[in-house]
Amino acid sequence: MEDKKLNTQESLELITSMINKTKRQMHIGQGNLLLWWGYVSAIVGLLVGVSLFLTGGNPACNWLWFLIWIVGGIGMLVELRKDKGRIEKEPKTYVDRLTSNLWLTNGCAFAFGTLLSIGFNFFGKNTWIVMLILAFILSGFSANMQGCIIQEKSMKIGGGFTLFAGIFVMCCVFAKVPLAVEWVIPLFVLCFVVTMIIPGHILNAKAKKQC
Amino acid sequence: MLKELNPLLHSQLRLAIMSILMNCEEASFVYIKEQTQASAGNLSVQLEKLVKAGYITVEKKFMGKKPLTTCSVTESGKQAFEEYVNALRGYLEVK
Repeated sequence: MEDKKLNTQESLELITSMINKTKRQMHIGQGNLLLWWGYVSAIVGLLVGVSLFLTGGNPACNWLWFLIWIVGGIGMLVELRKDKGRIEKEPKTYVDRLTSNLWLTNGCAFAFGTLLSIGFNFFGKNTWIVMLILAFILSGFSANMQGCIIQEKSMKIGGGFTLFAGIFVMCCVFAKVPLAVEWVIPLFVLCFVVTMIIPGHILNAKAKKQC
Repeated sequence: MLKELNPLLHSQLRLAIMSILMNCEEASFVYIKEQTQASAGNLSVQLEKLVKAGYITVEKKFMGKKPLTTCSVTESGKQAFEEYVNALRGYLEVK
């Protein structure tokens, strides 16, 4: 392409062709981050459930929840490192900024909740349930919002389900309905399956088809 | 009376750059070069002209150890592009 003058028709054609070229394309592994967090959360949830069941509900088992932060964090760093090369080859869109800010806010809010829980537990107040409620509500809300932004139905439905599940669990806590391991943990695992694992696989399959 | 087309935008490469940047928030020099298939030298010259006009901003940063030059359109750039497209429409309607 050179610095040549165009006529009106050529100008319009050029604008159209550039807009078409820069239309957001999906990339292979688009759903990897969702899959990583989804699988880690679901497996750790199961691990906590089994541990609580085997130990007769020992609250110390709740420390296992921190595996989500550790393993999920490592996986996220690996994925982001892989993504670095794409930054040069793909334009950054408003959708990219919106979704990354959405999950950043989610992560910060959850980190704040975790720190508060640790603080309260340090003074002998058991507030682990706050983390559980936050996990439902924050991940559900963020997934639902991302689904709306990228127009992915599975994320909208899965996120919405998890958000409502979180509100239900919160109501149970306020109503002093016992949160039995037998139903809370399976609900937690199910929520991460429908919010992250299924949409993650769908996104990857769509990207594979498109690329 | 037909509005005069902005001479700064009425050039193939500069219009292509602006069209790309209008469609995204930020694009790298490498990406724009690939899409426009312009030479690095020519692209730099045209980007500089758009920067001087205040239509785009160019940011040089590092991605790890690798330098990364990114461009984004400014508010006045968006306005100029919209005016240019409106003027183009006027010309096409007359035809």
